[in-house]
Amino acid sequence: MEARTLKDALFWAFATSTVGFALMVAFHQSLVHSALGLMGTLLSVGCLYGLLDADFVAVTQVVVYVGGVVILFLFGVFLTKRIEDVTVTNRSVNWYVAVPVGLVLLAVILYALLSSPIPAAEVAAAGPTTAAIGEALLGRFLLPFEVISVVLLAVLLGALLLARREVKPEERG
Amino acid sequence: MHVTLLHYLVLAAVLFVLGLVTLATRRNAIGVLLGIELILNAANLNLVAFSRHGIGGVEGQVFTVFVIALAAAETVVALAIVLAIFHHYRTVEVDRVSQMKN
Repeated sequence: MEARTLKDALFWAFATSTVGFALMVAFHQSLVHSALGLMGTLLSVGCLYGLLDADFVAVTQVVVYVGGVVILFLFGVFLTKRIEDVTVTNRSVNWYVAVPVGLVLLAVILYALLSSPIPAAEVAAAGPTTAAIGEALLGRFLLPFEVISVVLLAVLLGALLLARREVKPEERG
Repeated sequence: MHVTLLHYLVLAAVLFVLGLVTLATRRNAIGVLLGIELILNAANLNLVAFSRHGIGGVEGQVFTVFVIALAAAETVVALAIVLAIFHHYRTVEVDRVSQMKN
């Protein structure tokens, strides 16, 4: 019983930080702060994955998202501003429409959740799932797994092609 | 009151709506991309929560790993496009980028 109470307390802590950082992403005036808020959200969600006994997904989340995607976003922010702009503005427009629509949508989702038969019973912890994920990736999901690697190669080349500066013929040589 | 599957689903719903509001209100292209990441994370949280509570087994987590890989790929391509737009227009405000050619 003690362990469950501790897990519940941890859930509320991480849920609060997730929503707090997500609010920062949605409403902070500075784009850099929004990107750092995304980093906090992703870390909190990774901790929630840990609480859900999804150890492999939690580590993947931290390595790929926090270590890769957020850094990429920060590079994107710094590469797409003029150097003389001290603050990168990230203004919100139409928020007086978007926020009420979002609240209505949230109400609809909550209504759907509360009126559907979701099992409330706690199931026994399954333990670490890394071995099972490995078996699934190299068994049932072998083809998607290989397709993902082809996609990553295509993305590598495509991003290089898109992001390079065009060299004009007269500048060459 | 102990934490159940419903708590995770509600949290994911809040995250999804926040991502959608970000998507709708931001005018900086990178801000819009941040909203997309929030939405993808809400979906991932749902998948892992269902998997933990005995619905679908380990497949939910496998699917989450795929989604994370595709989200990374999507971010790379989108930021490359944003850089190309910046070189061309000298701005990344999505309102001002209205031509596909020249």
